[in-house]
Amino acid sequence: MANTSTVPAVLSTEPAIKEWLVAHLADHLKIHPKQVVTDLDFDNFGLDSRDLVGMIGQLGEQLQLEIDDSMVYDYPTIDQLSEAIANQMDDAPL
Amino acid sequence: MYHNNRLQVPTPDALAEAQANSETWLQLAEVIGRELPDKRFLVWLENGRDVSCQFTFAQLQQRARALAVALDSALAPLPRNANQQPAAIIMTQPGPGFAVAFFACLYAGVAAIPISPPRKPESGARIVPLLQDSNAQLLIADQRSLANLTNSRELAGSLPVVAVEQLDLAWAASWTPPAIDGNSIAFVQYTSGSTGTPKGVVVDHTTLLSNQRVIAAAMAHDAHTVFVSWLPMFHDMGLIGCLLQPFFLGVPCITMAPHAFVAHPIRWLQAIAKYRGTTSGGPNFAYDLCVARTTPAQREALDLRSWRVAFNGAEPIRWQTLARFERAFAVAGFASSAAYPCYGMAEATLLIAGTQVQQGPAMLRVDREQLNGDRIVVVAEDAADDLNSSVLVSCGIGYRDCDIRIVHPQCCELLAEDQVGEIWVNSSSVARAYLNQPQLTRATFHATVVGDDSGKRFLRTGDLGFIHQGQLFVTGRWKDLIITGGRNHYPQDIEFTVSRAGKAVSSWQVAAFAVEVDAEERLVVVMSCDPTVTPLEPDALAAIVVQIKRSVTREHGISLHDLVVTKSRLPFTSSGKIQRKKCQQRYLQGDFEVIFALLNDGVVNG
Repeated sequence: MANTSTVPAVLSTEPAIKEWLVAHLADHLKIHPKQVVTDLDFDNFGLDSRDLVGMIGQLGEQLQLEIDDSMVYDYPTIDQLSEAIANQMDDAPL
Repeated sequence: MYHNNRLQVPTPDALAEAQANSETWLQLAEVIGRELPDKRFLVWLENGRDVSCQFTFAQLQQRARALAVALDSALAPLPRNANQQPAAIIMTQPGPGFAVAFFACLYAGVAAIPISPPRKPESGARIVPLLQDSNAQLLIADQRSLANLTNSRELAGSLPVVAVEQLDLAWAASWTPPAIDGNSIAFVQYTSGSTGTPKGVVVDHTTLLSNQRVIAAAMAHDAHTVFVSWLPMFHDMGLIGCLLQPFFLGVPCITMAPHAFVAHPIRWLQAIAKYRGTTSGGPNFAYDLCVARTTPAQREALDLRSWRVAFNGAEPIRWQTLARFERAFAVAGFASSAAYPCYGMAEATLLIAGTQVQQGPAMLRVDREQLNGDRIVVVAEDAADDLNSSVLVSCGIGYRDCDIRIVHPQCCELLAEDQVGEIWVNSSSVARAYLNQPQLTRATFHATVVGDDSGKRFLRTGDLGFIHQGQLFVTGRWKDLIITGGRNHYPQDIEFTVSRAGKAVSSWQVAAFAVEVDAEERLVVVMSCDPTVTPLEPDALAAIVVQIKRSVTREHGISLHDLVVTKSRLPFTSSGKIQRKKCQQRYLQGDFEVIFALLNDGVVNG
């Protein structure tokens, strides 16, 4: 399912995923990345399900990885989500 | 890929006869099952891309019969009211299981009540009022939806659950046709009504088939039509328009989950290209999302020349969206004549009016000042001035027996062409009633025009619009509904949620309304703090704001665009009703004395 061969290795690490999510939310909410709190539930940003599913889709496209949208509900903060996705990438067959 | 379809040509007379004259969906389904058994009907694209399941018409029929037998067995031990048709709530994740469950209800003579399935763990509190209102005897569900309901055990205690996964195809052999006729209920469509008072639109078989004929005529569908859909199947546009219509026609529908589309919009378009889809669409936002989330290279690789009817409905239709989409996807062969603005609602089963196929959208530039005064003054394009004029998109005309009138919403007198009033509809597609709501039914479905002695009853749509040269234009809403993502939100529900966010704000005045931001409706809440109570400290206020944002998102699935706290009192009518339109005007004019504004402060850290 996952084809990581053309993804730069650096993008698939947990800090890089976290950085992408922070940048995405900052852009979406029109705030400075420093204002994005990474251990806060997505609900607190006032993001609706369309925002969250769109975000997970875009991240998946970046990583060339199929990410189930339920991950944003199971791992509802940037910290938890980036860790879970990084783990999924480690597990995915190359 | 289509070898089955090519070989199998139905007896044209039998199918056409069934489409024109069937009294119940079952009669039609039996003919289609007989005439087109091996033709591919439903294709399910997992993730919006990979086929994970497909059914021919006969396969769907067999599964529906088998599950219908299971429904009968589950109903058998329950007390039966001879005057009342049994009803079942369908709560399944998007997928072929929904189609099986819905058709099983029709095959069992059970009124189907499709509801939005829980995608994430939730309390299920929203389902309880629906259970009470509908008197449903059964819950048809899949494991994932049940697992997501934290109170599923309580629910299961109150009514038997039939699992869609536990299906033995051998049961189909013992299916016997139910005793139903055209007046039997096919399904109940809960509109995203106010949660305090759920509104279930009752659609009988006669009405359902009538609207199927309307859709087929309006969109010029035929045996070569191919559907592609990502729309939710539990809701009218996805259900009536994109699951039942292809079945009615005996043609394929290629389907995917709404979340697959939102995650990867390109996959919707790729499916249209791959399967040579002819009819496909969604609310206005879907077209904007495609433009925003695709690259020029992706667009160039697509071939959308097969797409004849690109319908756009359920949300206000923006000419900017139509123009942007057309420009972006011209390179893929998308024809501007394919854009198909239309208008409809669950109370009319689905479709009320639509553009003429292959004509493309008709637009009208009108004077904005006059429009605000409910009068239409057409402005010539060469004299156009974007500051003083607005471009409106036509929703086309009514089809078959559809009679659309523009009526003054207060005195109920007929209005002339080019006058803005409430849109009223009389047609054989108008639903029978709201379930168990005689008063609301009379007020909504049985309206009569003053001075009209014909006795003709009309549906009051609650939408405002006008007729210009025979074409219907929708300009807004008489009611204060907030529509985002194709879903209706009642402001009183959101205000209720806001008031409960904290003790400190429970006595504050609250108004929720929509404003247009980047051609989309967004939610704004204005609160007036209680002057008799000591003002909140900034930290306490910030905490409340976080709580409000969280509650609104959790309970309504809608994000808050702005929240304003003001010392000014909010406008109320003399009878004590909040005047949301006035609040909206004052908000837009910056008329409130602001203590706190979410937009200005940016995100509030928790």
